Amino acid sequence: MSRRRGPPRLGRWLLRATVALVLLFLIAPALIVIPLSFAGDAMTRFPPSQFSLLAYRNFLYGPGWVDSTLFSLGMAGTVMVLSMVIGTLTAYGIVSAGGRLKRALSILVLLPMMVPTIIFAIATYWLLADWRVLGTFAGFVVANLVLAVPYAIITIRNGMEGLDRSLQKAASILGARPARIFLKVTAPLLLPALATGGLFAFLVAFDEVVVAQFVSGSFAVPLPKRMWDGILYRWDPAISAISTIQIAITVAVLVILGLLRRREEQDRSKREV
Amino acid sequence: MRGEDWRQRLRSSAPLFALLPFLFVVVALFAVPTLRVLSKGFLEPTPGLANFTAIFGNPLYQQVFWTTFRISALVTLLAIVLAYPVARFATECRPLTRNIVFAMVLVPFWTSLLVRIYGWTFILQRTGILNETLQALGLTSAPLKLLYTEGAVVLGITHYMLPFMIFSIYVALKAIDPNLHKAATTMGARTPRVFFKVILPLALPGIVTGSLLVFIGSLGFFVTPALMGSPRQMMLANVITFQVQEALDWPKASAIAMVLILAVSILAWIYFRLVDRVALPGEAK
Repeated sequence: MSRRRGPPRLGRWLLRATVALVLLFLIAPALIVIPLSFAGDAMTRFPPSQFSLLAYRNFLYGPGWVDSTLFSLGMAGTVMVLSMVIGTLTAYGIVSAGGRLKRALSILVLLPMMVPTIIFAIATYWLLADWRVLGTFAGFVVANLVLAVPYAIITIRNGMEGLDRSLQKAASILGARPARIFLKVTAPLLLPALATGGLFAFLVAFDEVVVAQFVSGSFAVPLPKRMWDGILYRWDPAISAISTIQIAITVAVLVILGLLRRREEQDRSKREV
Repeated sequence: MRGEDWRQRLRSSAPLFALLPFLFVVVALFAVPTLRVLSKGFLEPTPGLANFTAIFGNPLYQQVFWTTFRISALVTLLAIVLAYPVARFATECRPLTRNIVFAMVLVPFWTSLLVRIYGWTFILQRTGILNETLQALGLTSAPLKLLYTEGAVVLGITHYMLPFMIFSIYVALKAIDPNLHKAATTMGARTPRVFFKVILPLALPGIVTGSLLVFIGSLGFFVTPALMGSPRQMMLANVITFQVQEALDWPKASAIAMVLILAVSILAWIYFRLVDRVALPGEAK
């Protein structure tokens, strides 16, 4: 069976070895950072020889780290909620549109993803300066919303295209009003896509650092910007700790997304049965 | 009767109203500010093309254009070479293995860029793990300068872009009928021949669209050259930042941004023409 499908044996082993090396390349930074965050001795030694929580202590008590983390969490959370609302409305508008309008909107959604962030960054600087929100929480929300909302729109739209229209129709025939149909039928079916889109938007906003170079203020320093300064100007073990925490969060989010997708697929196959 | 009509009309225009918040975001928060900052390249200090003749005539900027192009091209080539085996393997292996492979691609993809660069600096620095290993194996006698080089920048950007290439090629390969491969082999074609005559032409659309995505993404890269390169690896985005933050020369920054966005637009236009037949991301076929 497998002989027929793949290339000859030697080729197959070569392919596997290459794939293993490429995957190692992809996860190498994470493999280094995690043990590093528990290292007690000089940060330049690898592998570390003694266990310590120094990095985590620095993160908790060092200047600014916790403030930046809370700032980023709040900002990305706000962007997430806004992206989910705008994403749902936009996806609904696109799905309902037809022909040329639909295609134009699809390209419009991709636009903020295609234009280099650096150009948006210098453009936003002037916008936020005009609005007098440079270096504020609100300013960051505005800037990151533009970058994050396309991810939410695309994901939620995919979910909507996959919806089974007959269920809404059935509810409508049974006499349910549109609002009730949305709340009781559409929303629960859409939930996985909605959550996925929201989490993507969250990750995009949480990780943004290019715009942050231009619009940060002394009281509004998102986490990636503080890490940037740490890497460039002053080494701090706290960076290892916060990196490890972020990797853990990413893994957790992806596991949740995987479970959501599984649920969605099960729902779909249940309907097909 | 009239009330019904009014309600009907309201309901049919509801999708258009739903688009308003997004249109506000994309026009007022994105397009208008972007066009406004780009126009500075033409309008300030005096209207005309003076900023453009200045940047194209200056060897320093010529150097940056060439560096940006060279690094982006190297990243694209490296990404093709690294992505193809993974995509190929993912189309052939069992579903469980494929999920593991994709998880190992997606976790780094969604991990903070800063976290990854921090990891790379530890691998590549003078006393880093790579140099220690090379010396322990006796391959080098003194630590090599790996970080703050063009190689480091190419490596860092490739690490970021690789998943785009893997998924582009995977989608193309997945669409190939596995029977084609079998048919070619049964009819006596040898593996390299099957690859060049059957698999490659069919995988090519994925490789081309993936390359465009990676190249476009690399052209505007800012973070990696700034943190993993030296001033000699300055790319377009870094020189824009330099003009804004150090030289305080917004018109020049805008002119360079204009060049960057022009290059990206042309490539994006080609990309959309190519995927026209395939469907846009998020568009059901």
